[in-house]
Amino acid sequence: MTDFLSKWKWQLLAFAGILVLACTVFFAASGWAIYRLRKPAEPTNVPDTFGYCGADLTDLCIVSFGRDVFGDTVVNLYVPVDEYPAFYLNIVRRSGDVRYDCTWNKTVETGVYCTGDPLNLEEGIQIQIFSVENDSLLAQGDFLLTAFFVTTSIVEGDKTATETSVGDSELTSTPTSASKSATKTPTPTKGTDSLEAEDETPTPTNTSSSYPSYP
Amino acid sequence: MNPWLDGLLVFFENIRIVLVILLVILWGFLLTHGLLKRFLGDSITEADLLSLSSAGWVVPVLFLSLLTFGVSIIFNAVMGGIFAGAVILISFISLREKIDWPYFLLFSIILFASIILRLAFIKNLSLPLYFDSVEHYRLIDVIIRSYQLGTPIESSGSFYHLGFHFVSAGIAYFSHTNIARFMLVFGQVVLAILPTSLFFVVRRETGSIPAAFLSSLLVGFGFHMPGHLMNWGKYPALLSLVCILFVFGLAYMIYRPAQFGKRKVLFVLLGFSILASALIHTRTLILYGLMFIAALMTLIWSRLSKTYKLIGWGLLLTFFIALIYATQITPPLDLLFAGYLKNDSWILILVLVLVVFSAIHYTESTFFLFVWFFLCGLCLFIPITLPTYGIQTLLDRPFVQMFSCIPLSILGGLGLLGLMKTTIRLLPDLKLLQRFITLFIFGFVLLNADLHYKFYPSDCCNFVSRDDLAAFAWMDNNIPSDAKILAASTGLYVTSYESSQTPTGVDAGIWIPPLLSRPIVFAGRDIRFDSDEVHTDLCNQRIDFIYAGGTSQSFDFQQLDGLPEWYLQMFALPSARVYKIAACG
Repeated sequence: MTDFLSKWKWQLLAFAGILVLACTVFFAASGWAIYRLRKPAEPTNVPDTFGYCGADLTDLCIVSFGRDVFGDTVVNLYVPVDEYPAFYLNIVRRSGDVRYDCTWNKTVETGVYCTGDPLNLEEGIQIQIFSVENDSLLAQGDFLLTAFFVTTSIVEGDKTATETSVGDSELTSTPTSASKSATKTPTPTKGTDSLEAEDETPTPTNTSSSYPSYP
Repeated sequence: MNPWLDGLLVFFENIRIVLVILLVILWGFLLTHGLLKRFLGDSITEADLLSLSSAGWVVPVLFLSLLTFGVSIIFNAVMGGIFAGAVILISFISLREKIDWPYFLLFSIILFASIILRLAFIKNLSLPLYFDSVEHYRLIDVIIRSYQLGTPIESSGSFYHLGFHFVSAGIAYFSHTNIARFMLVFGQVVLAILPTSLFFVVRRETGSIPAAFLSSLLVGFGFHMPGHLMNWGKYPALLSLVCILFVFGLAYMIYRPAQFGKRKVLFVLLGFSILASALIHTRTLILYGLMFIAALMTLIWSRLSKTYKLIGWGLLLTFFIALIYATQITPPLDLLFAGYLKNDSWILILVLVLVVFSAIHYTESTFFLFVWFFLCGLCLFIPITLPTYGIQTLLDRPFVQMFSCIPLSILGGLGLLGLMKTTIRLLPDLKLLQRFITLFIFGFVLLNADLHYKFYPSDCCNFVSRDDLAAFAWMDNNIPSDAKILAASTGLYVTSYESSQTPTGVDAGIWIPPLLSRPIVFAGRDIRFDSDEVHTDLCNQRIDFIYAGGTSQSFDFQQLDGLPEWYLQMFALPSARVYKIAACG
């Protein structure tokens, strides 16, 4: 092999040089294309459009809807890195516009959630994304809330997105937070079989051990 | 999904971190290359040097990280940075050994392609996988805080795998990189470089480039390991594997003095490498001990008469089969071979065929690898008691599972050349067939990689969904900084001796302490929240909130939602919920 390499050294060097050059051109072109496609959104007359997230997280999209204890609706968004400036949501409803303020995850900058007045099911809404700095429209999307149609990120490559239609009881957007709707009195059970069998005070640190670690 | 396109996208998204990591590795690589070339001279070829240096980079990088940290603590981080920069500069000036550019370019192209492919893994990942990575994140964060404050490490928890954490903290701190992002990218880059390290030993043993390439290909894209380590968040183990291959290479040079000479220098290098390896992962020391025993046993065996040699083989294979049977009937060790049978069945069949030819033509090496492999497996059954960790075994199942791909890949490489030799002997005139066999085997491995190799994370081990990220951001703003949070867990179940009382996280709740600086208390997912005793106990322990993630092993949403007077839903997304424990009186 050493002989082979010595004999064909210059040919190999030329081949490697051409390969490197081709790679450089290819990657520079790819990088430029990606940059052109993904450069930070600027205020234009044609804002970006967005919808629910799929299996691949590449563009701005809505991951899921939820609610918090204050009765507000939570909108969970995926936001590509460095593509959007600080923003807020303007949700256009039949009854008027509602502003949702947004919070960025400190560790993972693509994770953003926004909260605001509760939304109703069976409601068609438009979600607009405005820049905090100059109130310019960055992106918009139309959503029909016949049910909260949520999509959770699937990481495994060969899987498709799981989309779950979540009904009223699960994630109603009307202001019926747990505290307000809770009328059920707890019917506690006295201990459990497993805990009684061990004859010890149930502590939160009990752990089950049947599932092997590192599958 | 296309791993090439996804990898390219990730590469450009993380280009700064990738380049920083590559620069650091390049420094370690060139230093190792220069030192080996200076000391070993003509006894080592450029291809060998590249292969060895692609594993050896880790040793100088680790020692520089440790020294930089020391300087930063004694003076400050700026001085530490200047010190590191000066060392890098001086070493570049003083070790200007000539590099053979055709080799280096070829090597760089292969490496670059490998990096692009590997980066696809992290495309949709926001945080490293499984529960191990949380602890690694915490320890890196502790060291970075020391850098920032200029004070020695203050950590209440256990401190282990120092080498990996110091290397990571040093690079992440001086490059101002987010720790989670750094871990994700660093793991993939190391994984991309690792296969080339195996090239050296196989090439020197066989003198065959195809055999060495096959071994590298098998460890890179044949077996599910070491790629699967990323699903477990076992970053130190991965880095230790790089070190293992370097130590193995150096040990091989000492074992073959006729080829290399300069044994004193090699022993010194070996000493430093073993020290670095132990700092990265202590268990590698056991592996080296076993390697030494295996080499001794092989030496003794090689001096036996032919009959006794055959008896030795018979005994070894009998013990090996008994070991396989014992692991198969001992949960959770059964996952060791199950992992290979499930993910690598076609490659295992190929290697099993090649092993026969390896045993015929490279009997001594095959015997050594079998003994080493067998001894590693045996260590799964030898219990030891450690002061802080309780009963453990000399090697644990994940470690042996990780390491198994090394002897198997080497056997594959040796076997390929064995098969070629057999074909030449049996069919000397059919040169086309001889070439076809090599092409067929490479094609088989590449086709298998295309059809079966997992370039993306397994669904087994991802605890964090996008909903969890939103929940964390919400919690950070809405719950008190001293709130105590209940998170779901299960018992650690790695060895057959393990105490089931060692809890490990099973959902994103385990990330709360490092990311939100709030303490968590573990509870098994089978906890009965509707029990008044459990509710009272939670109140007595002053636990304020419950975090329920979206994994199958997390707390049952329905159980908690059904008791709103005890567990007030604070935040709800489809895959993440936060409850406040109410009615505590």
